[in-house]
Amino acid sequence: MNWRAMSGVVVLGLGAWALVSIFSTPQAPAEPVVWESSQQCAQCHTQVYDEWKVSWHAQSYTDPDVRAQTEDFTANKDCIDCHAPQPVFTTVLGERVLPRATRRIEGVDCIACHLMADGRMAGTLDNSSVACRPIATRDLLKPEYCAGCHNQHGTVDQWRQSKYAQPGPGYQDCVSCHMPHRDGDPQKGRDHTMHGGHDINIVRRAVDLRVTRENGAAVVEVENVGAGHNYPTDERSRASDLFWRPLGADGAKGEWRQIHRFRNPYRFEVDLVNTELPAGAKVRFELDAPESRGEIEVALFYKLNPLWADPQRPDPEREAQLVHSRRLAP
Amino acid sequence: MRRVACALAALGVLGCERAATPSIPAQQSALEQAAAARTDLRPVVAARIAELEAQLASAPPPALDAARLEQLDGLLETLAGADERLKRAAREDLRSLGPTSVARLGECLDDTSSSNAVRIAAAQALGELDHPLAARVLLTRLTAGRFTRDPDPWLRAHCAWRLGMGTQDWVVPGLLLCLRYETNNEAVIYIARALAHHRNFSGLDALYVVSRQDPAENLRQAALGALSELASAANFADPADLYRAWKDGDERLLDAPFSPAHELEVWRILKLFGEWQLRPVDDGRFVLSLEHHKVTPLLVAALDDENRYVRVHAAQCLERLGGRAASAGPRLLELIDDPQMTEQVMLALGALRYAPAEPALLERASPSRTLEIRMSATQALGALGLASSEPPLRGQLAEKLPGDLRPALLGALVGCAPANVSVQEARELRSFMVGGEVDSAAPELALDSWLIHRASVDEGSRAVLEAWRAIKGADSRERVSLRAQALDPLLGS
Repeated sequence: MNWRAMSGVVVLGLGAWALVSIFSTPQAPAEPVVWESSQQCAQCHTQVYDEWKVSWHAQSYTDPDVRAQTEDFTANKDCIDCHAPQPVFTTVLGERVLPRATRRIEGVDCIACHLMADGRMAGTLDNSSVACRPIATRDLLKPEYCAGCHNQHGTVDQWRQSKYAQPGPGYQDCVSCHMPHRDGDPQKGRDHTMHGGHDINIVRRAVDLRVTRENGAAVVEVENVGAGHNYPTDERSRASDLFWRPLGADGAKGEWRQIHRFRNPYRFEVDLVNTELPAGAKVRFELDAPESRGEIEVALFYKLNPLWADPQRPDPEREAQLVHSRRLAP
Repeated sequence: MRRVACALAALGVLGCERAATPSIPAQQSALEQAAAARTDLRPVVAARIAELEAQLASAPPPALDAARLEQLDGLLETLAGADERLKRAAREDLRSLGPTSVARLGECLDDTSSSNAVRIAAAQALGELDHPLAARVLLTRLTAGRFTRDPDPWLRAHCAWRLGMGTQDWVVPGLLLCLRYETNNEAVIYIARALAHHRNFSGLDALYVVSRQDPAENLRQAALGALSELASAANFADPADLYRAWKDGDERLLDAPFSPAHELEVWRILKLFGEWQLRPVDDGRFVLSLEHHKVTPLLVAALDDENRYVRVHAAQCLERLGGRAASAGPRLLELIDDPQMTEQVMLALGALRYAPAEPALLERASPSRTLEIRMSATQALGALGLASSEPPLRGQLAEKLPGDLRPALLGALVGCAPANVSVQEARELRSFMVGGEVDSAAPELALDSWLIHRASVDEGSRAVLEAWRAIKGADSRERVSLRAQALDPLLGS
């Protein structure tokens, strides 16, 4: 086929497509739906709903720890704002969230994140013919979107200070890590389990633990290599503790001894300083105990509750999760 | 025509772009419209702060020269001594130095290398100056001491004691905040006393807790003694009467208005309500909710502030003040349709028990309204507790109610007409409490109220109420499960 024939086929094809576009029957716009529960979303978005359902966002109002600390949000109503917020878009993106009165048990749910003031849903495409009548909006991906709640503990500001917030090829934001594309494929949409500090594998990727000897002394380094915010971020609850213990020649293990705690204290603990590790930062400790010159084990632990059963004799193996462990020969 | 244009655009004929994402401008315009619905919004808080700051502005006192400093240190040593005659003279001389001595006295107060007696003498001298600058130093010490895990909590108790002897009523918000975080019960007792001196009795709760729970007998007795003294000083027969009067906003506790300095402190807290961070907001809501009910007009004025968060949180404070803020009812009712705070206004009207709000609340609890508004209106009607609300609310039970509205409606019926809530309805509340489909807290509270009513009229229900109340525990799932079983004698299993 010569080029003239080929051009003719292309023009005819495009013309036919144009005619179909012009004269085909448009899909009727869907009736507006009153959104009363995120369970309504499950009818179409089963995968997303199932992912969200096991996420910590879904448990923000029902988590027993939170309920115990707030006396079921009755004695302390101040926490409802973030734990059962009104839809972010109706409060206005970038503003502090406000508490809602209904379906609190669903926590930070589909409606809280996607419902817009006009009753449509923020999504990835425009479509008026389906029940939720989504409107494509990139605002869903913005760090300001998460800030309404998560910057109450400074997490988004920490990210803004980091290299990850700088424009360019290294730019990564909240959703890059916490809502990655499923299987890395943009066509499959974003993972709504929103893994974070409750997932020890994410925590492990955030920090590196290195141990070496310098003139016989054990030197320990912890570096925030993977978190785009402080390690650990959040306030009060989360702590990461660095311990070491001597190892005997017969395999006997000595008692754990604390080297350092990474934590941002709660508001009334202002005599304690914030020891979180900013993105990209590292800290170094040199052990001076004579026993540390023998074989030792150094370990970094992570806790979602900062308290030890016995503060004088913490038992990290029982009360915390192991992040990294390193052995160091004499 | 638009479809033709877009189809041609697909062919590259026209430069028709895909519609830009409209979401955020649309949101903003919706809120702007909402705000535009009220034309009376203005910078109430900023204007009042500016006025009061101008009114209260004063030049800082001159610094003391070296000779005067030496004299002051000597006077403090004397005041810390044992000779009563010399101490009296030292007190007079220190007082005559006036506010110029505050900076040095503050240094002495904080100097941990000084003897306890000298530090106490510094607190005494600061207290006796009865000057805003001196009170600020004492309040700062009371706060900072807590923050630094002061090894000498007695010093905080001294600071509180001194703050409770002067005329600086503006320290009340600061004292209330200290009460929130104070961990030393001796200091708590003196903070509560200082508050009472300034006619704020929010410390009574803390005194009751210390009197019942402190492991040390002497502190339990000290708290009991303080309760009796405060009641007697306020002309009440016993602490329980004073407590009730305080909670009810009794007229007998109404006296002189806030001083301008006290009012300024309140406005400064209200300004913090506009901050992005919730920490000062949380503290502010706590403090203003425990303020004297004289704070009500200020909170009402803040309902007209241009900042949405100031208005919302002011309404929340009125809700938490409850009956003590009854005078806010008329203005709240006028503002019930402010679209940026309608839920908070309704809840406040209910908590205030402002009966004239009933028709407006009933209308907003009707099916023509959004679920969020119906929910808040229903809760408000339950708090309002008028028997006349029962028929219209009960009428809605026949509907298929969405979400957690049904347990809220049943809870409201308990509030309005507990005697008419049937065993079957109580069973339904029990199902909601343990079912996991709605928040267990609301049905649990409703059942608690229902049981209290039943126990008041039915001998057999008293044992159930006692068993129910005996079940405590922070784990709500375990607690409500046990409490559900405790209801078996009344409701069946």
